Amino acid sequence: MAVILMKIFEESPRKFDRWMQMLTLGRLRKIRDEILTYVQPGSRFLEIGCGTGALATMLAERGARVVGIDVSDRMIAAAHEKIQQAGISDRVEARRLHGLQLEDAFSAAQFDHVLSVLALSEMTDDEIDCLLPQCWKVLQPRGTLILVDEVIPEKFLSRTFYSLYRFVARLITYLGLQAAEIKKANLATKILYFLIELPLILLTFLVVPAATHPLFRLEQRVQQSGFRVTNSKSYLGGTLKLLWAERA
Amino acid sequence: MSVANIIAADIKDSAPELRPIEMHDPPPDSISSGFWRFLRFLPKRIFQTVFRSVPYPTRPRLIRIGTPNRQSPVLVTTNYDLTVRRVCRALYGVDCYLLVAPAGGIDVWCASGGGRFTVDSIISILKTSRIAELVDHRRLILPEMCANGINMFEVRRRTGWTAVFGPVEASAVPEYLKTKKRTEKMIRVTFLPLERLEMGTAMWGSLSLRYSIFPFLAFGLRGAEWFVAVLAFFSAIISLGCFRLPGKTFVQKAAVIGLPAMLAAPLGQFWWTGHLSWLTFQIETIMLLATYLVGASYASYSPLWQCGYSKLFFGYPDLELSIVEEDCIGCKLCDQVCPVECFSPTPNGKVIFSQPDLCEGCMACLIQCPTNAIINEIAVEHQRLSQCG
Repeated sequence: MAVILMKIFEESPRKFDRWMQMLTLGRLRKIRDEILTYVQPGSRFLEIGCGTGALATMLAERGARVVGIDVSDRMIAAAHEKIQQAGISDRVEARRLHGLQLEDAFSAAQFDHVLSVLALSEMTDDEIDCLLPQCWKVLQPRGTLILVDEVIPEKFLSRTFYSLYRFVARLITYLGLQAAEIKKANLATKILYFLIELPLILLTFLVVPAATHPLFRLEQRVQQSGFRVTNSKSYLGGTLKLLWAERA
Repeated sequence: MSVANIIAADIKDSAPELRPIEMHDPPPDSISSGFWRFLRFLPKRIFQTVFRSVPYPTRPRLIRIGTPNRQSPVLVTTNYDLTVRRVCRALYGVDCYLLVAPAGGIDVWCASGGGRFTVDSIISILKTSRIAELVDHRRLILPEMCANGINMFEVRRRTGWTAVFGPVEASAVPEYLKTKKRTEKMIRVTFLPLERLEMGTAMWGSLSLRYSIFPFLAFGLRGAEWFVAVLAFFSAIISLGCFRLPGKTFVQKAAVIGLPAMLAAPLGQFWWTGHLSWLTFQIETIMLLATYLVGASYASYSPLWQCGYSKLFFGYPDLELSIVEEDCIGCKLCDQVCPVECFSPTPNGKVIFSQPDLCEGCMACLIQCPTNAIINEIAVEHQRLSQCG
């Protein structure tokens, strides 16, 4: 979800934040508040996929020391700007880094908390299996892993409804993405483009898997990587999950 | 403290066990043997031939070819099914590792040009495959066609692996690995008749899918059928004769095929039946449409000419390259990554942009140049104008 919005709003990250709120029906704000209540001054956070740095700056304002990483240049640039404006550059650092390079970039047991909001769903299963042990390495003993992500609901009926909903939502966002790709064109060119390209776009849509995919059995995977799930909360009918896990 | 407790504490502190490294064999259809195997993969092959412009992803993974050891070369490609299959087939008999990097199921050239095959994809596959544990060296062989998106110095800086560009064609890789040298033939793009026909078929599939709706709306099902047939005919001729046909642009070349056909159709019908019918008018219109479409899109399906489509819809910049002589250090990297032959060395050890007419605007030289000596003059002009205004 985030990757599609990011492409659409590449030039205005402010809109990106607002749309993320709208698409999660404001639950993201609730989840943020929940995370913020756990912050103690001086605790060290690592945020994977920090995006525009909205959560990282909030954490820093409560006294935490935060390192945010993201693969996107533009997002990191927006995060830098946000950090400069807030005047907390001594406590927050936004760095362009691939999530799978955690073990190279940070020393072992460097962080108290590792946090990731809607970033895992943009990775493939292999990448997640590679990332979680690295999170384990950079966390200190009894440190916590905090994950917020789209998940596939576990009840059969809601899973069926959810996959239907996702198909439609994906189609709409896919078309939106296509429209965003043709940036410099005027409206007539855009309409012409869609008229011509629609069959090919639909075929591509059917063949190519989604850019983001909700996670299945997140708890089990986290536990397999040496964590102990301590708490979890579901939002939006079990499709958005907040998960707390302790490094064993 | 009992022994059991100590052991328990030990286990608690040691990292969780990683899963064993996954190594895959080449895909079963990369070496076709047997009639049933051929038949089983036939639908996929037909789809990939006709709808070549549609992505077809496979799982990003580590493929072991032959029996590689700790010194074996590591090659990289993208996760387009056809590419993986062809590379595996070309590497048959060589001992090496092949990394299939995630790039949205698109081929190397398009994925790196369109920003899907980046240094991030290389990082992803290096880490998930854990290739670093399997080989002693740190050297990646990238396909030359990804030079338009992946900066080899950036790969080194961000991953610690040295990246070198291999040959253009996968079929030249065994020779390259043996001689460790890139010959002139290896680094230039070819466009042989069979390759041209292949791309002609791809263009036919893509154009039929997109535009058949217009003849269908105008003339019904028979109009669409005629349109597809005419497109097939024109695509075959223009792809076989793309060098020979007279004309400067491809629309002109298409007109050389299309106009005689448009003249011959009514004459032929008049000669056979003695009168002209409504069908003749339909076919004339269809031929006119097909001529224009084939001419306008053929360049997009070639590795030698710039795609006009990307300029129209995606606002790709016009290119007019030049080399700042003071900045040029004469490393000749631009010549090494150029798919055509734009550059030539000068007596004083530098490089000049000698054949701008051949340039297809892939921007590989612009991206790879270590000293940024190559500049796009149009971009500079734009910048100057906007600064003045």
